[in-house]
Amino acid sequence: MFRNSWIVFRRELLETVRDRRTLFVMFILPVVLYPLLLLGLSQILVHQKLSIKKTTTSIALSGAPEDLAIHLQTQSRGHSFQTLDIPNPRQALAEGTVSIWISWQEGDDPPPQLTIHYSGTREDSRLAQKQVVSLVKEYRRQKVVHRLQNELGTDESLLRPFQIARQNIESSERQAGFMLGRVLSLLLVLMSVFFPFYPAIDSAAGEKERGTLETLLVSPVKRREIVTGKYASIFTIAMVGSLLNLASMGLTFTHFTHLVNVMKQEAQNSAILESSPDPTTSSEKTTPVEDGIVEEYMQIRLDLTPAILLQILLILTPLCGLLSAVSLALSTYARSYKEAQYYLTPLSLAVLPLALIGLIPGAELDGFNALIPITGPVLLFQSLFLGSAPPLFFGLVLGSTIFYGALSLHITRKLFEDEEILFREGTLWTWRFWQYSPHRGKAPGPSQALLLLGMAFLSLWYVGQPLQLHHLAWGIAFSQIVLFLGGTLAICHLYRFPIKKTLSLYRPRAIHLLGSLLLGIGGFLIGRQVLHGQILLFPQMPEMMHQMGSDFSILFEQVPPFGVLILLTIVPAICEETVFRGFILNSLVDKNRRPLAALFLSAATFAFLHLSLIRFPFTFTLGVFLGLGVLLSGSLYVGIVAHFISNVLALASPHLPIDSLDNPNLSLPTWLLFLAVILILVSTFLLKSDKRPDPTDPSCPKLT
Amino acid sequence: MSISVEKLYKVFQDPQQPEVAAVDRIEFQVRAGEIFGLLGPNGAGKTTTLRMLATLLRPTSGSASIAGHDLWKNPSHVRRSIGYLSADSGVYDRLTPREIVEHFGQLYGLSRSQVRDRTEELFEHFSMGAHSDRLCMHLSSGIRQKVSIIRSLVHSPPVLLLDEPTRSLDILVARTVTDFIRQARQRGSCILLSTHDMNEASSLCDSFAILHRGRILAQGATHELETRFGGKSLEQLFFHTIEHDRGVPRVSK
Repeated sequence: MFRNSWIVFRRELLETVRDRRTLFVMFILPVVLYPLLLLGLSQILVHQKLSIKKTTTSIALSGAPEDLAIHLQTQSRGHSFQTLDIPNPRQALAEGTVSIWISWQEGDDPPPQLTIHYSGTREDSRLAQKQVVSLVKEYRRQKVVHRLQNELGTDESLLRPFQIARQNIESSERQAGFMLGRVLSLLLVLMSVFFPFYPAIDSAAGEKERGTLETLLVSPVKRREIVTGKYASIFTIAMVGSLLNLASMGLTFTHFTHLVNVMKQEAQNSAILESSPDPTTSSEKTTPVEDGIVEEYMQIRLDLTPAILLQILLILTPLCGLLSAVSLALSTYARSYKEAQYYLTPLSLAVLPLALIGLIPGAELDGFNALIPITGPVLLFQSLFLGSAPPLFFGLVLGSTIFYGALSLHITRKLFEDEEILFREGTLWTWRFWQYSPHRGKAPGPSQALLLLGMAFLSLWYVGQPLQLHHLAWGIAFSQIVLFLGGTLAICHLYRFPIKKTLSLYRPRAIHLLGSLLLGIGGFLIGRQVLHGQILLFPQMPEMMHQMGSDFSILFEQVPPFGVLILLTIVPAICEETVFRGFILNSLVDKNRRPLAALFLSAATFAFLHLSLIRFPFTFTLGVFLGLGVLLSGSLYVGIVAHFISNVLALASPHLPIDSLDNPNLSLPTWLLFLAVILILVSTFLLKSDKRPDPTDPSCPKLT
Repeated sequence: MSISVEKLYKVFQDPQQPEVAAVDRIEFQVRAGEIFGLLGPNGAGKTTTLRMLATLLRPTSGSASIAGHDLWKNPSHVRRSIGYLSADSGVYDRLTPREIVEHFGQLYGLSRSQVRDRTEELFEHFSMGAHSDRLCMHLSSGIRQKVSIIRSLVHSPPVLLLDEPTRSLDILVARTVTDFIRQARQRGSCILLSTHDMNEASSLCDSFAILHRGRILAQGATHELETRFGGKSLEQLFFHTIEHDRGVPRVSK
């Protein structure tokens, strides 16, 4: 097997290294980008510093004592101030001939007031203002010392019963990690997205378009050997790119921090010498920055030990593997080079928010974050730049990233074996899509499912949710009946889909109703146990659920109890089932092919439209069971009944004799779990028998 | 028989489209040293038939054997026995013809020395000369088509499946291709050729089938058909059968 994959791999790689675009992204970009970026940045910094030092800042003084002018001119460390006594200082400041204007108003009670006038929109003015403030404070301190000595015969210590100091307990290593880690981890992950981009497009969609894929498929090489070879080459390129990126980033930032440290050291040395009357009392790492406050000065050092680099590499490898697999899957799905670009651009956009979660203040690596693709690695890299990462989370990130990568690769293999994906041809799109006659009387497909999902999501987000905040009862009723049910029926009408067939509105047999009853109970209990499992993994969850969940008690103030019951049980059962098990599930089940994929996808959309990440596992589980019921029986009514039962149980759980039902912190008793499994099994058996409308009808989806 | 097709049937599953058979229970045989033409307008099912025989698509039902290998049981042996070339077959732009041919030689399981010898032999036969070691992106379409032909012949297949190999080629390049097809027949290859070019079909094919809407409307040796249909030329025969079929309502399986 590996011989053929190796041949494909070698050819792919040879083609890639002869492609200038890929070479540019792979080598030139990472190697040249960072040094150029930092060169430019440091040049600008140095230039600014020098220009600020060189230029003389003009200050207009009006009414100020003579010695203040002398103080400003003589005590300015490293800056050059020129004081001017001009007739119209306000106008001079407005015109920019002076950077700031200091006015002095004499008085006994209240005491004299010194005002620094500056322009907040001019860089020179803002800088001068900052520098002058500290000089003026020092001037005031000298006045105080003078008065204490002359009028009270005492010294400054009267005003300073104690000194305030700040000392950061973190080592400079951790400090550097904290500062740079965030930026570096983000860059590391974001750049990894771009390396497999072009090789993946070229390798699958590009080959389709150029007509070389067909020649490869007709050779005696197995499809999985081709995928393995292609994947290996994309992964290699992504890894080489990422390693170069890491090396270039490491070298550049080490060099940069070294430069910054030297500059800081010089600045701090001169500051210590000038400001501290007795250098021996000042500790090596602390220096007074303000009157009476002593602060540690920060040393930046990027100190990546081999062990840390190895750990970064260990995570970077499956991350590149994941991104390569996703890119290849999308590219395989695309019909042409251009289409692949359309698919892959959103991928980089999707990665961005996931990576940015790592930059949210307070975002830390925990059991939940570690499992989110992209976010987990970003947070782990941050920990690693700080010196270490907890082995448990390291394992979780590593394991989950490998899992997602393997899953994506598996999907790519499946796509490669699907002749309809490999040889599909473009269909004509028209804006007057509702008049597109081939749909008439036919069943909806994935694109209509996506359309309904998009419509439902947007209308729920922009109309349903605001309405629910305004008036919960009306909001729920409107979201469910108008947006969900109405939206589905509207799409059926626009496309002329026959409603009964599209939504599987076939009358169930009595045995199915019994099955759906048991399915509802079993599904609710298992979903409830999933919730408990979630809490075990993420202990902070109940509080988050409490904060994010809707408080339905307000409903009782808005509508009578009977109305609440209808709103929370029957209405969602009918409307949500119509959307998710009726339209979406049936659209995704394409004639006996991959019913399980359709089942899980429809459950995921069901969970997604509950707009709560925390409740996702619970709603997903429930969605799977409800979908299973509809697929097995062939009737939507089964889903509606089971959903209704589950809703009733959720609403009634606080009043049921089993405490654990209402409190997901407690696990269900073993007997109840056992019962739930039995109920599901029995209901599966009941629902499977005597499928509606007719099991021999080829248009009727079957679960095989 | 080098190619034997029995009740080959293919339906593309698309819930949004009415179920239409792209290839509807077709049957034909091709012997070694024979060129069999599949004649039909666009959308007749020619490409689908050839793709099924090349194991690129799975037939919905029916069977076929190529060089004695069953399509269902031995797809990899089938692939080893065929040289496949279509008008859409491309070459790798950033490889040289030699690299491409050697690449495919290796994929067909030839040893290094076998690949080298075979490549030299084919390059000489097709007078590739200085073009052999230039990147394909710098080659003319004619030379590229030659590279495609050489690629399909590298493993000396006994059966050739050619899907409109001269479509959108300029006249000189098309000539290279038709010359190659004749030479292959002389060497004893079994050739299945799809085309909608009547001149090409009548000058090349020993026998043919007229395919329309997935079904074979007429088939037999070229002279035999001409006699059967009252001395009509191939072109007249083609339009006669197609137009007759258009009046017949379509029946799917």
